[in-house]
Amino acid sequence: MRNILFMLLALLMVAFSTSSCEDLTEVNEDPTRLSDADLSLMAPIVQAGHYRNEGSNPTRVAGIVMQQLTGFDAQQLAYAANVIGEDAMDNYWRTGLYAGTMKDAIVMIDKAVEDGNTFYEGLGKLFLAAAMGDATSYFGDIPYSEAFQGTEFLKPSYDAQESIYAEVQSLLDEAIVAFNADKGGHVGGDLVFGGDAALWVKTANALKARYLMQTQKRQDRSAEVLTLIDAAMASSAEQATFVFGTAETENWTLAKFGRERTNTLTFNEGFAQRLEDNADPRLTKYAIFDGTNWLYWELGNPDLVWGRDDAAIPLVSYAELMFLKAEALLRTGAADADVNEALTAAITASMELVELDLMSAEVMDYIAANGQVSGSFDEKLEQIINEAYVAYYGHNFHQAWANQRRTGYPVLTPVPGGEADGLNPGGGIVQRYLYPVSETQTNRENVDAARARQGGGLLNATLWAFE
Amino acid sequence: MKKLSLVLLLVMAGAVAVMAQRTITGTVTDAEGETLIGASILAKGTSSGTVTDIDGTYSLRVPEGVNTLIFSYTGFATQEVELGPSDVLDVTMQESAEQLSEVVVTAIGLEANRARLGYSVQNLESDDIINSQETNIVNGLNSKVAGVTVTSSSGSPGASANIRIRGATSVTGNNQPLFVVDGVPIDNSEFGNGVDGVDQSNRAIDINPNDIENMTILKGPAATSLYGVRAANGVVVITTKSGRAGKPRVSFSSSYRVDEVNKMPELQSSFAQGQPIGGVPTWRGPDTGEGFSWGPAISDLEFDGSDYPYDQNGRLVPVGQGNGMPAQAYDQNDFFVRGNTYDVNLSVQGGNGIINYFVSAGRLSSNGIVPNATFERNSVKVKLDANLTDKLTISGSANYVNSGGFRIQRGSNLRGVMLGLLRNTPTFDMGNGLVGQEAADNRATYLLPDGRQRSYRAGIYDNPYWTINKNPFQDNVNRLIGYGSLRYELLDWLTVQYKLGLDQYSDRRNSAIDLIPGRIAGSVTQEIITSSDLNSDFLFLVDKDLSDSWNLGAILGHNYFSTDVVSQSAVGNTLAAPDFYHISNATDIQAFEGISRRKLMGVFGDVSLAYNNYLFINGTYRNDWTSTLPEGNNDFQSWSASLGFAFTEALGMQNNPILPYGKLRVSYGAVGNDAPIYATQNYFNAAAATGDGFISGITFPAFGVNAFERDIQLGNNILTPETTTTLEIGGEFKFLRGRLGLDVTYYNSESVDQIIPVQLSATTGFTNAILNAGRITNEGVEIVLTATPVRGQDFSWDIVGNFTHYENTVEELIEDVDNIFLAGFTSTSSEAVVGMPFGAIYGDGFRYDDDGNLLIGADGWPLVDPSKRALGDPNPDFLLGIRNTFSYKGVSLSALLDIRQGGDVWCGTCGIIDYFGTSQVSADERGDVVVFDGLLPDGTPNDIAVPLADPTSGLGSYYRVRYGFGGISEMSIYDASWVRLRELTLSYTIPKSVFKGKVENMSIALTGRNLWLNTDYPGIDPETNLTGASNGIGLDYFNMPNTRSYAATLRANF
Repeated sequence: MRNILFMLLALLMVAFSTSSCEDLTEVNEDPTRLSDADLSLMAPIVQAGHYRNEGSNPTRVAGIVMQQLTGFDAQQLAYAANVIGEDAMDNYWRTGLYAGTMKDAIVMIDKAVEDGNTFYEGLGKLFLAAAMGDATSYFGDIPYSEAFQGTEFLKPSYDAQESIYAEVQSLLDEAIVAFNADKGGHVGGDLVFGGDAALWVKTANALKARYLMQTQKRQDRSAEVLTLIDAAMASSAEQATFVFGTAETENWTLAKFGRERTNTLTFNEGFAQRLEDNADPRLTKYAIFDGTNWLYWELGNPDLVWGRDDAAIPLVSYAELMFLKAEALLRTGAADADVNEALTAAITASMELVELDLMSAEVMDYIAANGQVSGSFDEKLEQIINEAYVAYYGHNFHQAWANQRRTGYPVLTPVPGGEADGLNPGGGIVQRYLYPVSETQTNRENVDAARARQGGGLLNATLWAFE
Repeated sequence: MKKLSLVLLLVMAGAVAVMAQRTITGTVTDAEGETLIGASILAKGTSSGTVTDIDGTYSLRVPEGVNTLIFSYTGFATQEVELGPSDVLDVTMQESAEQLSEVVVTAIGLEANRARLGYSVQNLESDDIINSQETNIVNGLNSKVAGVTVTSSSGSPGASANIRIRGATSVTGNNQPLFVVDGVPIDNSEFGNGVDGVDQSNRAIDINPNDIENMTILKGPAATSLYGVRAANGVVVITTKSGRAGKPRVSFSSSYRVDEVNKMPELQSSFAQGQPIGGVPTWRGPDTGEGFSWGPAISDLEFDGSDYPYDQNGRLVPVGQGNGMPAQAYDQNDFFVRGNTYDVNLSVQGGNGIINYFVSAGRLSSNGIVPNATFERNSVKVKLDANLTDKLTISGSANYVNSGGFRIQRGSNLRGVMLGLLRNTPTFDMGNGLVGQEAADNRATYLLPDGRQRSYRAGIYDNPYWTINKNPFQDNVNRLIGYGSLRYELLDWLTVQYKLGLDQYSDRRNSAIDLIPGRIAGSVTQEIITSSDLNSDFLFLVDKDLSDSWNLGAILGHNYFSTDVVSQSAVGNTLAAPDFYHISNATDIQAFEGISRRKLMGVFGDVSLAYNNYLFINGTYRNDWTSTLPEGNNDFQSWSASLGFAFTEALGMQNNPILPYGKLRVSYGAVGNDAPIYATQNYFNAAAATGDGFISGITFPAFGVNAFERDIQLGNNILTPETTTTLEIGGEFKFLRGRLGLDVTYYNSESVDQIIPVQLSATTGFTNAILNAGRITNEGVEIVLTATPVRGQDFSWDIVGNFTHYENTVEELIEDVDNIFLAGFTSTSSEAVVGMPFGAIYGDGFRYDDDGNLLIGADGWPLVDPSKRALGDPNPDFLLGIRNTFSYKGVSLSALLDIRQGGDVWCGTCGIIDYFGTSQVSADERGDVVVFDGLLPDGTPNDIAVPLADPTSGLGSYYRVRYGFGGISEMSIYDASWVRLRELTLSYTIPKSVFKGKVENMSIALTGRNLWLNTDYPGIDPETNLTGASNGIGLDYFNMPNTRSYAATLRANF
């Protein structure tokens, strides 16, 4: 019996010691994750990430700054009083932007170059450029040349805004080259154009036009903008539209904000008044009055186009392209008729975007009343930019804000008490976002240097591009 | 083999052999002639024995062939007395220096003589735990052990309780001790105690306190290093009851407990919902969606009788403009009900000395102080020991537990009961004319006719009655804990032992958020967590007298441990129909799976040398190999050395009346703390588009495709474990013939190579990396005082005091990092801050100059410091638990007083209800005009008077509103010192004579829990923490309240 016992014991010992020794390391490999991924699995998150950012915190706060939205409760109330602190954009900066879409784009570009697939290289560069263009319009100087290198540069320095805009242009140029090279081709995952490289080239040109116009104050390249527009989309049908979904995991950002942060953010009453005063038919597509407040979102209300779960969001809309064209024509001294044609096309495309009946009296009346420029250069510019301001609501807040900072239009009255406890000296319209708190914590020397270069970096500091 | 089968058969049949017996009776007294209650009597060479009753008498059936009885009693010398022809044997016990020869359970579940240990351990007996009337054994430890801090999440049924032994050793790793039951490590994890959701259980709640024989708390590395990496935070060793030889003994206990809320924040009842409009406080009703109670005085309002869905009496208007029916304030506390708990336990034990058994069953069923809240625990346990030969023993145990309940939304959660209740304006009747359970059961309380929610803010915050009906959360745990072991005495000095333990459970959770038309889409979540822990221990045990003076004890062992936790869930969103909480009601469904697994292997050795029973030297060493560290670098060592010197024995002072016993201890040792799983490499995760701060992300698969992205955590393939080294010095002394005992321990520990998820600049492409860096120190004193001021024939008075003091300091983190978030919110959190006590409360404070003067702005209002800083220390200055027990014949009165001095708690709740104007403070100070004590910008003392709530300047100018939502952190940090009567137990043991032998003994106990609490803390009972077992402490944000209880218990042994 003793022998049997020892045999049993020995067996148990063997069972629990030898087998486990070998698989110790294997146990630490997470079975729920991959160690590498294919290009077709990378493209969807690059796109979804960027389009989602088009409605996330920086754009909603831009909407508040531009007095199209306003705070009703909690943090949104503080934002409306210009209390947009260092923590406001931290989540966006970290997991939306740098370790989000930009990181995903960089990883995809690296993989595409390794695989020799130029389509995904182009796609990655296009979205990287768009993300960077938006980010620099919020923050000015941002890291790029030393960024995304892991342990190589744990504290990346900040590149001047001028070089960021230059990088945006050259990334878009490289994207166009890559799309045209047509090596490897689309193997899945392009949720926007299903792999149509030619349409992506048009979008790249539209983005180039947008960001060239953004630096117009520094160097007017309106002629070049016109050339780019000619090489861009020819109609709304060709714009790069991302269609969100009705499943909760696929919802458009503003709809999700409505669902998850109900009654904290509302449609700005003054903006509603502006649209009402102009008999603008888009108001019915933008907001609904519940008897107390104007709401930009209501659960399941299909009329509110930019509050829909499955909103269709353009990366750069044909309407925007036409507004850029109208402005560029005006700046290059074109005849009013040409400007008017572009402006009318822009407003029409905007009406189309919010699914209004273009043949309806309200739409036709509105276009007839507002599609013509008149007066001095400044007055004409104001008309174009003000129209763009209304048209950009809901999906393109950042361009409305960039326009305002660049041209001063629309003329907005700063909110009372908008000094925001020292965050916004002077209390004027907010000019930029503060660098996020995590940069102060992890990359202090570089972010402090960037702040110093840009007049302290508070909310009132004008960005290089808009000076 | 045949023989073995036969024996196994016997085990299963539970057969009890009957032998020839004689019955010995007698009385046991001490030298002064006083009877001793509970003295043990054992028939030598058998396992049959008994204890003396309250009269000091005993009766023992002694098997034939036995001719010696062994008498033992704590604090007295053990005596062996030969049986004569008489069946009556009275014995007088002598107090002795061997009085500390108490048996304690030490590492790997082995028993040791306490006198031989070179480190501090503390024991708790069954009654200490049961009498506390706590469902959760962890709560039962509160105030009873020096060096142990217990924090319960709340008084909700089944809420978790968290324990730390000697503070924290790890910045972000686990700081909870290892729980070991009968030598088998068990899972005490908790899933999901964040800042929101419901109060989840910690899994030690599955242990039925009635099954516990005793508990030993092992504190420092010298005590725990044999457990290696798992014991960095100490060990709670639980020994459950076993069968003792003898006829079947049945124990029955039944207790009924009533709970009520023991403390709530004070709410105002003078001002209505509303805020100043045009400089005048104006009523703004629920339909406005506005949250403030800064409206007009309620006495200035009356109803207008209009048709208003939120109030059956209509809207409120100024007096004179309505129907004359005065407005009124409602008491929000009417929501709470009286909770109750019914606990029944039955056990049978016995055996024939060869096979002994213990079988128990218990059922506990609780209803909470919140309507609908429940918790249940049903357990069955079987434990068998069989001495197959005089050298071979096999044992086995199986414990099945089913637990779970209906849990209530709480915390930072728009659905939280306390959030909705405390923010609710006094002029809104949450119960719509009803209160408590009756209101909860009537749909008109919380539902408007159009299907929307009836609440004071039109559904922005859930009406508490809505949330307990419409946001259900139920859990159901099925758990099996068991072991099988085999022990064989190879030689008289060498024993070999093998034990295989298993702890397996499934935790099924179903929860839902019901839809509200136009507002909330609703969701259903079904989750199953399965956990499986396997532990194998193979030991060689040596116990050999080397010479007349030297004794050698040694252990050589091998350990294998594996844990495998799988969590699978399905989340269904956008519900189709209300009141239907099944996944089929969802419009879209997501599925998730998480797998975490870890394996550990260790070899260890322990050598103890004893010289003449007064000098004890011990050394331990363990080498662990773990799966969580990089290959080739995955082993690490734990070790310890200790010395115990009983100087009274060495000097022959045993009979010294003043100091009969004294022992000095010193030990030094090191243990490791493991790395987190899956931290050594980079992964591609299922993609999610996040980065907003307010809303959840897009998660793939979505849009008909799948996607993956590189993880934002940078893998680290050079991780090493954290190491904690501790020096412990102490002494145990018995004075005045053992009437007074003192155990003092000082320790100083240092934990280095902290495994810290370091935040990286996101511009690197990663948001964090896990690195080794940082150092925490901990220094403390533990004192246990025992005294018996009176020990008379019938009356005795015993005192036990436990004193705990420690300083737990974060010395270093990583270069350029001054603070690391542990738990809480971005505005206020518990953090590790360099140079500060661990878990410091961190947030926004006012601005002060170097001399500590508050800086005031030119407008007379205090200025806010633009940088966050450490504002409070949640660690107490000291804890003191004092138990006084008075016994007179069969009556015993025991009171446990719990004193906590110092330790801050952030009352986030207070800041918010001050902001909304529902707190009594916000009502009291409405008319106040104050001059803040501080300096103006020009350096002169502030002399500007400011009104705290001036309607003409608008709501934004109010003191409680001007600093933003909930004010700044500093305004809500309070000293949470308390004195409480934690337990008061009156018990009566009915004399045996009453039952004429049919009942061995019966007792009745009345217990009060938290009967009295004295604290200046303005919120709920400050013994609470929002984030459960996380390393962050001192946070109270709409936590569920704690309870006061009254219980009656009947116990009988047959």
